[in-house]
Amino acid sequence: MAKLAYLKRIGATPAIFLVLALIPLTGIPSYQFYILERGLQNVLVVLSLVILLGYTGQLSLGQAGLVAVGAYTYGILCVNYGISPWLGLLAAPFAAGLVGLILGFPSFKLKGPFLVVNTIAFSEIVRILILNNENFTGGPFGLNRIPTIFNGLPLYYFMLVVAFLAAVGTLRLSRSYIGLAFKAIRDDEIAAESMGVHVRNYKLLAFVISSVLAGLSGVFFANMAGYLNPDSFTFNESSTYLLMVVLGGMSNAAGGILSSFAVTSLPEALRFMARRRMVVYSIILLVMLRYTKVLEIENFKRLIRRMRPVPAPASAPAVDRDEVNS
Amino acid sequence: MSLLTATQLTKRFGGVVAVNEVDLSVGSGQICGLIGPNGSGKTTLVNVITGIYKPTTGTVAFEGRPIHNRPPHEICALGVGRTFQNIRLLLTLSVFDNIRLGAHIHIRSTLWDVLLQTRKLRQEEKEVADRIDTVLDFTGLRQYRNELARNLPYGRQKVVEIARALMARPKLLLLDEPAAGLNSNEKGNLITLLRKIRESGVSILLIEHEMALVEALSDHVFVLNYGKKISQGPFSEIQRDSTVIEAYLGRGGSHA
Repeated sequence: MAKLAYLKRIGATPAIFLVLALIPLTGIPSYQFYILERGLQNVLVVLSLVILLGYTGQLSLGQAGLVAVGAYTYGILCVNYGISPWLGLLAAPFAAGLVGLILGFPSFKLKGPFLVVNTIAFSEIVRILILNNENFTGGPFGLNRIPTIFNGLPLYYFMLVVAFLAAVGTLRLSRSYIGLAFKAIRDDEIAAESMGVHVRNYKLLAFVISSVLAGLSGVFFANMAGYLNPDSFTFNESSTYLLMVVLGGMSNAAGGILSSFAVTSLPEALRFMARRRMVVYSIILLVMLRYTKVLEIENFKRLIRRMRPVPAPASAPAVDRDEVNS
Repeated sequence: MSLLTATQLTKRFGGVVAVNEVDLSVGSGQICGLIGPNGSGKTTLVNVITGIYKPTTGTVAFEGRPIHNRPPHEICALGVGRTFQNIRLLLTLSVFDNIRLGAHIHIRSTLWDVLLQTRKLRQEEKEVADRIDTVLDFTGLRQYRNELARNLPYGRQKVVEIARALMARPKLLLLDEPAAGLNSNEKGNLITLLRKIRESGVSILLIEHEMALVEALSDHVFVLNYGKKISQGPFSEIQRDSTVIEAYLGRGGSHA
């Protein structure tokens, strides 16, 4: 019984990562492997949004800008200054975190749509700065021949370990008093500050943690592609990240991880449809959104229960969903 | 010695003077009532004391220290707890977590403790959990421990707010209409609970329309009307004060 409770407490996340660790051993083709890598890279951004949007309630549509800051910090340091990729790996999330700190300040006064517009503007500014500082970033020609930390399979497992640590950290954060303060800010800022939560500091903390994760994702992007171009960090990317986190159930880390793989691979799986691809893609996403959060484990279980008619069990005590099932 | 002292406190919103040169003090171990007709500025006064609003003029001192320029989270950390007229619980979270939020100001663990799950954090979390159970027993909410806050009946939600405020170990508790919307049974329980809270050494400033409650509990009563303090004293005196009666019922007598 105690063992069962323990399993329930650690939840779905380790299982997902175990599967992810086993998939490459089946010898999947390199293209599918690449999609898997992209999904893993997106997991970090989704976790960053789970913390920022899911827990703290601050909607950002500028995550691509933060990914770009991480990727370009890594790229510029390694290419232009010949710094070791390992140092770049440390410097990039740090730079992204610093930028995220600045990005967090407007959240003191701006709420809802106003904050969203602000984050969109931020990521556009980042993109345009990259585009126009040609001798620094390579501008529209991009940044070439970026040295990597690892390649191929070792890179995949390295990303997997980092993503796993990030997921565990996110879950620990969620359960802790810090996560509680984040959720208090999300649900009722006045109640939060009246109970002693330093709302501004916690908002900044959420922005910084979130930016560090997005910056890490940028480093991985640079490692996978070996080439950076401002077109990889557009509003389109930011909205896809938002879609992933919403499908995953916003404050649910495990759901977010699943949906980041689902949303990354869906357009690829539909590639055989050629021109109708995006139409079908959109329809599938709409259906998924309609039957909201199918990817949330709890809802998935409910769906299965509904398919197998059984007498309704006596109402179990309700528990905070995002804590148990992640 | 008085715990909370407000001196010549004024709050203006544009042309509206919501609180007008109010003097008020709550002594240690006292339950003070704050009454007045709707719109007389009671809630605004509480919001000024707890730092949600900055006073236009005047000062608030808590244990002799000025607090009127401090933000709400610092005022909370000094020992001023509060509940809200319109319940402000975290409805998506459990009762346990709602009360846990009250312990926020006492937590010493850092972000690193959380990420590394250090012994310090686990020890602290255990202490908090134990204290939550004590508070749950104290307020009679034990059976709702793992229930989502939004699934509780209204009267119970109000008690959860009080429990959350108690969790912070306040010296002074500001209760904004705790009895509004309660049935007579729940009101009786509330009186017992508030007496227990006072016995545990917490002073209370009680905003209330329910006169039976104010009469049963208050050592001292302040009466507001149109933002001004029109009377103060023990309930029995207030009850006979003609300005108070006029504020509530209008000028009468001569028409009769």
